[in-house]
Amino acid sequence: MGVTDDRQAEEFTAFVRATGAQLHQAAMLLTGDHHLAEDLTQATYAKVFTRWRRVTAAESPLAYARTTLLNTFLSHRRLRRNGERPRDLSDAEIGPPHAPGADPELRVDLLAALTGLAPLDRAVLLLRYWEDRSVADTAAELGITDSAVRTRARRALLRLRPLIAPVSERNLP
Amino acid sequence: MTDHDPVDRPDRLDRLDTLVGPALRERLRDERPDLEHLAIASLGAGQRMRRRRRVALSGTAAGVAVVAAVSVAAGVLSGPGTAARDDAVASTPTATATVTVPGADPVAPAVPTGPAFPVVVDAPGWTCEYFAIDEKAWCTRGELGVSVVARPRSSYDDWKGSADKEGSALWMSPLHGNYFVTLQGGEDGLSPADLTAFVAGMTFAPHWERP
Repeated sequence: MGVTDDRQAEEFTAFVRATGAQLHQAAMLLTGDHHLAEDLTQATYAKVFTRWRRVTAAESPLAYARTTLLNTFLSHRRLRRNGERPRDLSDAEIGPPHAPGADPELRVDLLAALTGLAPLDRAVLLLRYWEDRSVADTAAELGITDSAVRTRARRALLRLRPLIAPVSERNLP
Repeated sequence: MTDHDPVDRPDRLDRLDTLVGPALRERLRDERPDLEHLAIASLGAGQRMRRRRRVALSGTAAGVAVVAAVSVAAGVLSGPGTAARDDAVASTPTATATVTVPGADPVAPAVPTGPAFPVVVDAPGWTCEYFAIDEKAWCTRGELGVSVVARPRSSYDDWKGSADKEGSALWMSPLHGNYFVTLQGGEDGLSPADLTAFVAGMTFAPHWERP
């Protein structure tokens, strides 16, 4: 490697150290699986490295990486053409309580619940609720309409509602 | 769920709107990757991608067309390729590529060079792509997908019995020479019978020549 390559490698490594946790967590939201998240994060950073000059010139290199992560995830799902559809939670997705004494009705793990969503629903969830992006921003990022974002966000909320909403609220008539 | 279902009322969902982000952050707060491993692996994969692009560009300039032909033939132990689960990485194979030179026999394959993936899968209905340079193979059968990941012997003790590692894999092999493999699957889910048949169809090389 030349001096420039060495410097790029150093810069890139520092960038991964600084942003890796955030990107990995986003990948966990998208995939719901540790190893798939590791694969997705690594593949994303590999792409980022190939465009390193462009990334460092970007206003927000982290935002660039996050967009790459999302596109990589969605394009991979399209490539697989596996016809994923939202489905109901299974018993196998019911995990242990979050903490001793936790409400047993809250046993279903959030990540397990997310895996029941379509990939695009998960992408909407990531942008709307993890990154606090607006409906319009989310729609623009994903190339779908505002209405589609609202529909998918609503579907995601309905799936997560039993895990997040207070029990008292869920018991209301 | 109907419009009359009280839990589906817009005001309740609006309230959830504000709770989802914090709940997700709380759930993922302790999810920490091995940053050093991630940096090294990502840098290596990125450098390999760059090299492939340079090779492809120089080949084009020389009038050589590189036809990406991923090895799907069972029985081919040598199948260097690219990254596994990501399309841009994985769909740019270099290992089992066929090089076609104008005037030459268009079907004559290039002599494979580089590393080899140590496992071949010959299970009924499954089709696999081998990405040896990234130490992975990706197998599909209809809507099912399984990733076969080769791992060095030095990682075996970390994996064996670990809830986070072995516990999250579909299956983990015993040691084969200097390596072992894990099967990772997405949310699609294999039945136990599917998994048994898949494992039975795996052939392991005695030694792994790691990329």
